[in-house]
Amino acid sequence: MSNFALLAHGFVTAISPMNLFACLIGGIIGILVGAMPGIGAVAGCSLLLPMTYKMNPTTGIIMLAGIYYGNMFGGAYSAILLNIPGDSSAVMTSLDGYPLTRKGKAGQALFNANISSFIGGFIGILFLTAMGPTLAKVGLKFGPAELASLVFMALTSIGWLLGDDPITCLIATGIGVLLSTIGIDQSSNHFRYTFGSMKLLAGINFIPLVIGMFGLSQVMEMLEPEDPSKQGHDYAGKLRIRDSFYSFKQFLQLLPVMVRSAILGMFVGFLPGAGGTTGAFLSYILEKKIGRHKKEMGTGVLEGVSASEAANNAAAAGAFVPLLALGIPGSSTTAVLLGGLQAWGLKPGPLLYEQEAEFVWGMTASMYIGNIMCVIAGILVIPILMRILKVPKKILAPIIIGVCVIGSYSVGNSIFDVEVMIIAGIAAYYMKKCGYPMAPIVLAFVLGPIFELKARQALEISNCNLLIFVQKPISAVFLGITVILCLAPVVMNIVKKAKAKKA
Amino acid sequence: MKRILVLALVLLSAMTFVFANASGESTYPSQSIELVIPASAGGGSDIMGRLLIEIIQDLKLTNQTIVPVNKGGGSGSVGQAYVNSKSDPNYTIFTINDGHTVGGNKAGTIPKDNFTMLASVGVDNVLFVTKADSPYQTYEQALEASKANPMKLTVGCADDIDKVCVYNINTETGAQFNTVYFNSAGEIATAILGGHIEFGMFNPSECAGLVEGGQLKAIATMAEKRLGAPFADAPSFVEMGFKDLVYYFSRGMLAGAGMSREAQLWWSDAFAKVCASEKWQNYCNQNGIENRYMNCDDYRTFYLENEKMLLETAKKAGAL
Repeated sequence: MSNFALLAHGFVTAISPMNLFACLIGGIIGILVGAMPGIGAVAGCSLLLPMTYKMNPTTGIIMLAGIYYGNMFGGAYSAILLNIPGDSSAVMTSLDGYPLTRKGKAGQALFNANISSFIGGFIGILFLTAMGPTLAKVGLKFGPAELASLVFMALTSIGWLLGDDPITCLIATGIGVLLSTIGIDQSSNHFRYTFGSMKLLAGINFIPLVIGMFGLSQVMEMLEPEDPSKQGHDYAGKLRIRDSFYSFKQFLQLLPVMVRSAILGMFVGFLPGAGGTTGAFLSYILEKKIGRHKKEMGTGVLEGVSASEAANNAAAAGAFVPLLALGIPGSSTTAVLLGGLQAWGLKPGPLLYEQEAEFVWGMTASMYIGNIMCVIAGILVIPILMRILKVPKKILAPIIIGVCVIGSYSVGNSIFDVEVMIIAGIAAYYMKKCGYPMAPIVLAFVLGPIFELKARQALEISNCNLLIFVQKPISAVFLGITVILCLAPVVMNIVKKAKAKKA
Repeated sequence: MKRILVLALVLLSAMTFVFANASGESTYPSQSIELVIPASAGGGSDIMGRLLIEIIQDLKLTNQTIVPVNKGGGSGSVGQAYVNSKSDPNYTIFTINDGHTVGGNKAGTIPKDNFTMLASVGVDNVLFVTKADSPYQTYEQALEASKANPMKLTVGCADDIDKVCVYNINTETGAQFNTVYFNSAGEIATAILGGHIEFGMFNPSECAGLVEGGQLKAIATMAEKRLGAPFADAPSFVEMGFKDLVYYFSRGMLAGAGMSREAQLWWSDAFAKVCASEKWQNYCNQNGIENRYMNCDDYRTFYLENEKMLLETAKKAGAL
């Protein structure tokens, strides 16, 4: 039977009333936890996992998968409206989403985020259906050396591609990498920057850091005295749901962006340990290099939102490839799902496709349905979300602060995380005043440890022979691209100057 | 007059508190208990911790609620630091395994007189695994190859215990395997399947699916005897003539330093009932764990001896 015939069988499983209901509930919970800063897909899934033990495994995973991709939809909302990414993979969404809100185009940004998420998710699931096990084999080609080079390429691009001033960007990237090294280093057993503190042993948690840097610092900016020359928080002016939709022509213009971002995001999603944040970031960079509006990226264009959202949804689908085909999780959320598979008595591994066909295909089919449910729910909540913009600052600010505190506390039930959030918020506020962008810090914080671990593994394998990075063809290609990316601006400058001289 | 009344009320309430406490002492436990899981939610340790709570409640061993608290990070040391911060040692217990024992010693979170031992709940096996179609189909072949190419063949390790095992394998069998650290067993499996490394150390539950699926192959076990299917083909090191090369990954329950003897005995007894339950036996079967209960005193002797051995080897292996 071909994959699509099996998928048709899967749809029979997926549209049983119980499974449809699980899918709807999962999607809605996912959107909610995604929109709440602090509670991401990992927390959402692990909190609900014990509830599903008593369910039929297929129903259980349908619900949890719903939470996972619903979360990718929801993460965009607070990123667009408040400049607070609800989840790490939505950091890139805020770069263009929030400026759109300031331009009074919040509705369009939200609508576009939903549509892009849908298209991205759809393409991701399509790949999963058509060639899941094949893709898993491609993913295996990426060993430590290849991944180290891929992440190295992303890390070096941060400085050049985000923000206006490469110097501040590079400094911000450096700060992000340094913050990520705090704690006990698992492979060498050294304590780094812990200053004898027990609390710093486990390092700084990502979520409190992001909430502080984006959420709290945003509230502080909100509370600054009104600048009469600016419009202030009045960009909610005329809020009509009709203004949110864009024309079919506009959709067709954005579609290529969504498709190429989705394919890239999907690809990064199924690589071991790379994840949706990296996927969204690389897609955004791609758009900034080759897109129609590459010059305006970051100032509030729909392409920026599309690139990020299509990619992170496709990456979420991509993370299921190694989970289903090999029983190996591709992201921290799928690691939780793996725990679920074992608790339900299924044996994740290469035989899952054969032995538990009903389970695998039922779940895949439900992802199509869930994706449609999420996009409908997402569009329906736009008018309600838009009202947030009408809430006066003096009411909104304390609420956001409350959400920030609860969000960071809930990560590990620890007051230390709240302290981290507050310090990060205050530091970020002053750094922003001095012209330092925040996104590079966050991205470097995510990418730095992956790079370190993978580079170290590669060197341990090769007995510290650096040539391993160029001897492996895939790795060599990434390094080549990195060199070109770094040298291109310099060469362009020289060429420009030479031309100017001639003229 | 009013002041005296208030004072009397305060005194009265204070007295009831004292009495309540006193009467509570006689029937342990008299308040809710925290079970700290030094791992993040959703992983293998978390599932095990929550299952223990579920069984205690199914068996109705106490009317008090047991609250799971996840404190992941630092190889168990973050959870241990949290336990140490509790003022009443009688109402916080936590799960421990050999990896966390080493982690705690590394981070300095083991109290001066050590924790209070409650019970051993099982031991996990450790397997030496390679790719199914690898050129090393037996341990002897792997050994020969590693002698011919010292430090060229790599074993993936997910924690210090794996490194200790490889160190022991190297010293006992004369092999010269290189080790590489990975974040999880899943990452080791990916690296083996992709041909980036040759071998890996796994617990049975971490590789059962891939071994049954014909992708990975276990070529040796650290247990004394062979394990059941799908690992029945893997001989033990003892069988191969290395009679000292035996290791079991122990899993147990501890409480903070200074727990009362009464509370300790209560838990020791409670876990005896848990380990005798069908649900626990099923869990052990499913996850390749050997259900091996020890009461608090036997476990204490075992624990201290085991800890000493682990630390000595970890030091030699460069993992401490």
